[in-house]
Amino acid sequence: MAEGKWGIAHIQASFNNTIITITDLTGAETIAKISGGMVVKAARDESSPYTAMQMANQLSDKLKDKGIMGIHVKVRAPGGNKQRSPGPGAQAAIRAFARAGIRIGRIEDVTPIPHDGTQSKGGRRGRRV
Amino acid sequence: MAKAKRGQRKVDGWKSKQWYNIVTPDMMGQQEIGETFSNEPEQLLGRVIEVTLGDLTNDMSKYNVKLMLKIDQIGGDSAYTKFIGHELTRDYLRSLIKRQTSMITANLDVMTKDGYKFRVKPTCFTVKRARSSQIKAIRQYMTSIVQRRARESDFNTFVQDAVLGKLSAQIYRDVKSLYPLRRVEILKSHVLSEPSVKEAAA
Repeated sequence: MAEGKWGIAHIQASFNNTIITITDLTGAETIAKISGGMVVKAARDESSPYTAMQMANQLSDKLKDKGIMGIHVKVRAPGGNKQRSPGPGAQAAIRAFARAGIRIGRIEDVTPIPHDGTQSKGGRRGRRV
Repeated sequence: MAKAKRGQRKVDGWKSKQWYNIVTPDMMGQQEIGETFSNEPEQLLGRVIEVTLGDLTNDMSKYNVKLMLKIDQIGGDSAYTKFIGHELTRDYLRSLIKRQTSMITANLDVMTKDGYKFRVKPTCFTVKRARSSQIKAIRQYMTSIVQRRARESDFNTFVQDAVLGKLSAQIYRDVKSLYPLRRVEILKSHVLSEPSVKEAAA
């Protein structure tokens, strides 16, 4: 592994928000965290890619202060009986980290996938719009 | 003023924490794989770090195996770990699963020669869809191979075989005569319990 201190960025990206928590390699100690609502004021913007970019920029400043030079990324969608694909913020955040000069290590999808669980909402015939 | 105070305390919290190097177990060559930090060394115990086999061996083809290492001992500023299990990364596993083929998994609890209880999930991926009788035969074969291998080897060699692919290579060789196989992997392993005698001695 490359020299310098590394961390893990847990990016939870849903369609309503993006939450980034940066921890140490064991995941036990939090280094920095941020969510969409801390950057923008309108609820509908919390999940947007632009917000994610700003979040990542703020975080990378904090990381540089604390001497973390690289991160492994764990991307997570809502999962469970909700959607399995990450929201719009995930990719933007990773890109912004890379552009801000933080080294990116492994990127992994850690969406919780049920082996068989409860029924998802919307009923048997689906959501009728 | 209250605000300033809170800000200051946060900085102090970060600075008061100490960094520790995480070291792999003996059987993986005691490499340093990363750093973690805490207020007190006792807090480190029980933390789990995930590291890919590729990082340890510098082998590009092994980046899809994740090892789980748990901190169980602290000496100075290094934290020593023990192996508690491994897993394949999800994207690699997804790439193996295909239509019109069978994925045959066995879920086994085995005991190694020196008394470690171990759960392994050997898995065969076939070239074409197998019939259920063939699937049963393959699963039986896998079971007997893994159990024999576990009985004959001690913990360290068994882990190395399972993780580095010797075990799956043997399964591949032996099961190939039953049905054409595409790939054999150990999906997951997990240490269930350690020998109690050894714990009492240590």
